[in-house]
Amino acid sequence: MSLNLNIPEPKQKLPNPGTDTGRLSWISSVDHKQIGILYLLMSLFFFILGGIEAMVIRAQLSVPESGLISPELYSQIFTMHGTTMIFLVLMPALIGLGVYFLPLMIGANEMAFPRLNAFSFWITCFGGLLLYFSFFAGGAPAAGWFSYAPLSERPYSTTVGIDYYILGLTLTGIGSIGAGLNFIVTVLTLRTEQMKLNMLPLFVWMVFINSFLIIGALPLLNSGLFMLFIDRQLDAHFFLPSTGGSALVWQHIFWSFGHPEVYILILPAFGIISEVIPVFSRKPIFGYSFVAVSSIAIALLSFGVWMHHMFAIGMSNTVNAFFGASSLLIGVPTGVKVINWIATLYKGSIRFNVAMLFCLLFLINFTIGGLSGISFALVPIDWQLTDTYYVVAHIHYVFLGGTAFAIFAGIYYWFPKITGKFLSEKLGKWHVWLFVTGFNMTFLLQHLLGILGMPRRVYTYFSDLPYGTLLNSIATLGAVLMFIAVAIFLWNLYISIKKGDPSPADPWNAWTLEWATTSPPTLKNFQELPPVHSRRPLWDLKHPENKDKRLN
Amino acid sequence: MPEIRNIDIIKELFIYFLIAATIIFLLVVFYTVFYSWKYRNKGVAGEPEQIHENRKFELWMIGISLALVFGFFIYSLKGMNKIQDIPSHPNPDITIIGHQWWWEARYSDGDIVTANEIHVPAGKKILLKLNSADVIHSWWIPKLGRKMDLMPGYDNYLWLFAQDPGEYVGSCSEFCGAQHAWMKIRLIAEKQEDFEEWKTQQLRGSTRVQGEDSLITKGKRLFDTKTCTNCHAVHATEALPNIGPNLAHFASRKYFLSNIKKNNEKNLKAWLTNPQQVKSSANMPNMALTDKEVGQLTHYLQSLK
Repeated sequence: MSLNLNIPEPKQKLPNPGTDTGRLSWISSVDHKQIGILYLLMSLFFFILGGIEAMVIRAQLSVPESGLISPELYSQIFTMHGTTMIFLVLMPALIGLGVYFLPLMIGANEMAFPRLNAFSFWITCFGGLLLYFSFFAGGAPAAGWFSYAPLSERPYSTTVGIDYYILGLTLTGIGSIGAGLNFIVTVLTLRTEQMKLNMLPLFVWMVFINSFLIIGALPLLNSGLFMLFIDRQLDAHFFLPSTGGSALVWQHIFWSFGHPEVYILILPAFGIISEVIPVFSRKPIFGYSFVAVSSIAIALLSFGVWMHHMFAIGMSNTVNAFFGASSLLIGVPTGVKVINWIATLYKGSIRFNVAMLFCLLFLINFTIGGLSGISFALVPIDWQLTDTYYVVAHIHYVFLGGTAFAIFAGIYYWFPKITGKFLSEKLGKWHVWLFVTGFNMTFLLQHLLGILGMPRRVYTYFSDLPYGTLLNSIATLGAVLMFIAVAIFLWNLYISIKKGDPSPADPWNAWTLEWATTSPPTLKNFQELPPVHSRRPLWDLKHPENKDKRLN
Repeated sequence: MPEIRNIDIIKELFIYFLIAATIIFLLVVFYTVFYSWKYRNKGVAGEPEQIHENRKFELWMIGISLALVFGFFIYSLKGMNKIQDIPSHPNPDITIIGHQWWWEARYSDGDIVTANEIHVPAGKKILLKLNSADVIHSWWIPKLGRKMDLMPGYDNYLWLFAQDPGEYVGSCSEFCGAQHAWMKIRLIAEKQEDFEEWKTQQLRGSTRVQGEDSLITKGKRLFDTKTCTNCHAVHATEALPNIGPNLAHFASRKYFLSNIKKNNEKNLKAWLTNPQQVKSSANMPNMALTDKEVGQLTHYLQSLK
């Protein structure tokens, strides 16, 4: 069913910001590679903003009863930190890598809907800018990234912050849905003719599955946001209990989006890990079909676990038991993946490039996040530890130690393809080791803070919190290390684009189709494609004596 | 049979979880590090053996993890049912109402209404009814185990059991606005006779001004005329405004402002002079009182024993 649409495109070089033909084309381009780069730049921009917000949070919490910033500002900062990192950093980074590499990896020259692709990016970008405009319009949203009603309703959030939150996220949500649709259609229609669905590279597979999650989950968020907007602007009362609404309905809507969202943020990251580990172990992924099928299991289960965010609202034990069970179950396919990645290392020939180091550290750190996640499926433990710093530690091990490490791995891995230059391995090693040290200093001990009784989202704490001062100051110190590491990373990006070693078409001796074209690819991705008969077409090409099993 | 404490159930489950999680984590770390080191590139030419999969191994792994989560699920069910065992027609001893940002406690037997410092008899199971007057709050005393949200719109119930007399500090655990961090609970568990004594004291005519010096009278007049009574009551007996904490027997509380400030003259004066400076965003407005008036009001409040 592969309709190979040959979009006529010149063999000219991809415009880059330095060339005179380039500048304006970045605004009008519908080229998937340029849009992918724009997504990544947007993500980087907001990563810096969100990182500065994180530093303000850590500075405020470094000592008990600090008066550095007011409680009102603190609420805005932590709300914006969470919202930014989830919607404006991790999602655009993953979608950006997808937009750039998904067509390349399936041997296509474009996304299925290039204009929709550009639209998705710009509306996401403007959604982010609109969200940040709230700072100038009278105050950023201050009800947390989850904006629980009725706190987010007009009687309790009187500034326009929440309205900007609603509009900003609605726009980024529309952008994500557009990207999701585009990915699905691209994979279904633009694969090179020989590539069957069971031969997709795992990154493509995960982005594909993930797109179903996006188009299933994001409309839930958007409809919830609309209801909240109607409440706030037209005095309806969906979520206001005092006038007959229900605060609980918001939680149901939000988390029935919110939990799939967690997997939306981790599945493409799994995909990156599943590409990088094999290449630097010089072996195919262990148990391709198990890794692939477990993603489907995760995607399906992820729509049936949302109430584990709500165990403290006073549900009956029947409901608690159901969602406890489904949340425990979803740990199994995730565990299967970790086992397969480790098994890929077995009897390999491992290269410790920075990309690989991030993957290995991902395995360890993400496992901590995964295991602490299991403890929330055990309802009595959840009753004790939910909404404490234990959860803060958990989500950061999943999103930072998991997703962000995978994105870093992906950037070190694919940067030579995108720019034609290598990132400096030396600076990269400083980046990875400083970052992982700082990360664990900040978040490992926060598990303990939660157990000792520190609730989350507090702008300060008191010296009577056991070990509170010590643990919090170590956390702040760790944040400083991460900040330095990110500065090194930014410098690395800058200096490598300027003076990095030039990269050949296939710098890592890898196996998927994106390495079959030049670095960077020309405006038209491929002039010709190698034959595709297995999951690793370039392996077959390089090792005619030891080809992978033919699948078509 | 001695009462099983919630926290013990949670602790036991957590310790078993921690043991299993630690073992799994150490295995992951061990194999990641060991394989990376053992199979590092040693400069041998050519590619290693291409291993694609081992279905039996995968199925074993899936089987083991399923068994593990099933075991933990059953175990957590047991704990869950023990902790959350609410009768179908609950008859609560105390009703806790969450406010931005303080706790109101209404006792079922007798007209006792207090705020933030909540007295209970030690060694006795108390049934709490929880709800909220505004946004969602969450009741959590770490040492007693389990938290429960205070939801506007419906009631939740929670068994509270403090075995030993003493003070238990807790905090609001659901983000409820700017001063969420300053919404502390102080639970004072007392021996039965001490608790009864406290109750008797609370039941005593709460309006009685103790000692009739003129400063107190002036303070009381201020309290009545300066619109304090719009939000605060000083009785526990009528249908009363509860926008601000009920101040009946205010002087018997050790702390005020949700257990953040010691209840003494200095703190009270600072609070009455400029509430927003002490606790910004609080619903208490600045009444623009003169120093003299602040002194009189403080004196009056401190007489409400």
